[in-house]
Amino acid sequence: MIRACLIVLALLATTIMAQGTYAHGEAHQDHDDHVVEADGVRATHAWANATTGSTALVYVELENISESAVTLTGAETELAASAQLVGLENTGGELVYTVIPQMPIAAGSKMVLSPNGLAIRLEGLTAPLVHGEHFHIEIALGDVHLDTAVEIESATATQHSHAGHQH
Amino acid sequence: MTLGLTINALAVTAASGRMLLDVPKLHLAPGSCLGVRGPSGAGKSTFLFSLAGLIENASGAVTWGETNLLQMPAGARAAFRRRSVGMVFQDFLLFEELSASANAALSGAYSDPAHQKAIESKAEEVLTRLGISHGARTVDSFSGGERQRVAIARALASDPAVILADEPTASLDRKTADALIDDLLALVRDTGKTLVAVSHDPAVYTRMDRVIEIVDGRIATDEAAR
Amino acid sequence: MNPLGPLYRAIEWMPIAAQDAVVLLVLLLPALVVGGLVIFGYRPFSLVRAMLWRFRWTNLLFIGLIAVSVGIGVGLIAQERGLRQGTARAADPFDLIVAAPGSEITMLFAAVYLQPSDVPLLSGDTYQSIATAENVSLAAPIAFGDSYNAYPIVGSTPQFVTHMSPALVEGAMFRGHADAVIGSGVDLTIGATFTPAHGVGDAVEHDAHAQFKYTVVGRMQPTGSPWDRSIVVPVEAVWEVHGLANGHAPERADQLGPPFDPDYFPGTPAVLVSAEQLYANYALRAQFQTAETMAFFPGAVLASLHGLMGDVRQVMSVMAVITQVLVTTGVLVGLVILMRLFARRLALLRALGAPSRFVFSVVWSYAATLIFIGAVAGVGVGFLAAAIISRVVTAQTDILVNATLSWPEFHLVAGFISLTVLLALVPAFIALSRPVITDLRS
Repeated sequence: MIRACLIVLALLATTIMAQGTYAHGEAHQDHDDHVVEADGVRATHAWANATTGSTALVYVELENISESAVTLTGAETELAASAQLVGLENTGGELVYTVIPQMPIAAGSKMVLSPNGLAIRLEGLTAPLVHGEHFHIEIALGDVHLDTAVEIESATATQHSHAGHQH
Repeated sequence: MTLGLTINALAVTAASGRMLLDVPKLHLAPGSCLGVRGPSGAGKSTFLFSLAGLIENASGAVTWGETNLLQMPAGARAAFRRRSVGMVFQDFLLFEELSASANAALSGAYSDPAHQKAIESKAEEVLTRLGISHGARTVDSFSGGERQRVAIARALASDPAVILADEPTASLDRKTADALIDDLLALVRDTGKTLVAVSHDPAVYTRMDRVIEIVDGRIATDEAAR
Repeated sequence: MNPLGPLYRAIEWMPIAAQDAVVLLVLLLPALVVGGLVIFGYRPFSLVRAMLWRFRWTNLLFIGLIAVSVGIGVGLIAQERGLRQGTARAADPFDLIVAAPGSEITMLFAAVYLQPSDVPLLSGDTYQSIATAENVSLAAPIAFGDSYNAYPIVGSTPQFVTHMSPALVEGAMFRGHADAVIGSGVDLTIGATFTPAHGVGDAVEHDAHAQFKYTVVGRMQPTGSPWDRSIVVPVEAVWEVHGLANGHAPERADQLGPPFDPDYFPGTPAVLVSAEQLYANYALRAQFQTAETMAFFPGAVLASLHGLMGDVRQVMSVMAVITQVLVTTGVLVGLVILMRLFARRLALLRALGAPSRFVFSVVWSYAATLIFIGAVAGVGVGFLAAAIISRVVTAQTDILVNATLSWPEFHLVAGFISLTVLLALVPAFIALSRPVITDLRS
């Protein structure tokens, strides 16, 4: 019974993911918008879901192409009162986002912030996030600060519209 | 308060066009008691309901005091009945699951709170006068005579100027019927109300001040009671 | 998507319980406003009570129909939430699963919910790199594939047993290779012996391991997961039963549990990895997302599935309301028919001069009372239905489901009440359109 349920849901999930990759073929703008690099750390495809609420989650792919480890310590944006790194945690059956004060990224490794995992949580949004627009966020990795544009995807998107694209 | 009745050119026709009632002129003095007799289907009940403003396709004038019911919208006619008319029916039409007191004070449920108190005390007063001492009991255990007394109390509870009764004794045995009509007439005459009672029963209409006979929708005879 | 979204956003500064209470009131508001407007200035309830009593059996049937449709609807929706919580609770001990690349969902089924699956194995070197990675506090192999009497047998370590059940309810931890610790729901006693069968379910080969016998030495606490029907044995024994090296060099062949020697490590379908800190779990996940390994949080996979189930839930909610409204419409049609029985009394009221709005309020209050009592009784039926369905689902899946009605269901019932008492205006209008004299003489 549960197996049947889960299989159906798994099939649904596959379909939705397939739709997601398909969507990327449509737009093909300037790729430079989606990649920011500073002091050996690269941020790619920052995005968030559209919302009219007061909180939002920002997802981004971070890549440490330097020789030494860096530590993701937080973020800042003019659009929100606070921005913190959070991770989804299962606490006795409740799936909740818990604040992660810092997150090491080893030399030469990648850290993907994506739905139902890690994210930068914005609280106290001062304006709604409108699909198709973008805003700026400053990601702090110790002394390194990356200023990247966050694409606002639809309220139900599960990935950046350019996800899967090699830059 | 008492109200007299003036009828002018009252005509009621069925949807088929058939004439059901045709009363060119009738005047009834305030506080008088009118008996209406006649064969079945002659238009007695139609006449009575016309006086209550319940017949929709009536023309002419039915004027109680200064109020011509036939020129009023349905809501205003209902308000007039509420204020000025008490009705008694052949088969009582009580709410069987309610107590005698609640039945008698029925109109309190839709009147303003101040008026509701007056209705309730008047209903109790009339019930007591009619010998119903067990007002808290539901009426489903009551005899026919008792039920009609409750119905009379209901008609009188809002102290109307006019009582319209449709065959009030038809469902009762002789003895009960006689006692009931005595009581009704006493109550009506004591307070100067105008009574119109439709009945087959000579014991009813002979006790009225005046009797009209309706045949084929027309007043065939109009005379003082014997 | 959610029509209540803007309302929740407007009141998100309130405590959660207050938000839910406000939403409940807002949903009931149409019913309260309509009720207030219809009844204002009148006292129809003694008449309504009398009419309800007169046709009490018919009314009881109507109330029963509404209660059952409301109850089953909210019971099922509560069940969906209970199932989500139950599956997540069952996955709670599994912080991070590392396995050979493949389907996360297949591995979730196999490692967390113990659904049999053929999956590739992780090598000794891979296991070694996981076990020695920074911040790892537990790296337990989960070697499934054998069974006894439909109870899956899983090879792992004493540390894994302690992770699943910090204390044993009876007996002790396994000390020898032929010892077994059983889940709380396994029908074996301490000291019982059994022979493992190769495979699980229909594909089972009973005689494959005929020469081997396990002895039950301990029993774990209930976990509310399929692990309650599992038998955990030393992973060394699973390898030995299959004629493989037992994870340790020959001179240390009697050792139980880590460290394992990569050269004598036959492979494991999955490794449960746990770190003390949440960030470390995420760092480990990133570290083991490689060409040779797949690392995932069962919780995250469940969250993705729940995201999809969120849509299913909305569809279910809408369907539940539609079903309830259809049943109530049926009841209201029944009421219109019942009103013919009341027609004489309603005509009497109008003949006596009762305002139309009073007659309207009597009929509406009658219908609204049936709806309200039916909906409240439906909440009771819902609690019962949720408890019964939970028990059935728990028995079928071994995942402890504790479904009970909560705010979302109460909101649904409130919405249902508002919608249907508006529908109840229809029989009230129909009752007013009846001819007074005809009904009076009927």
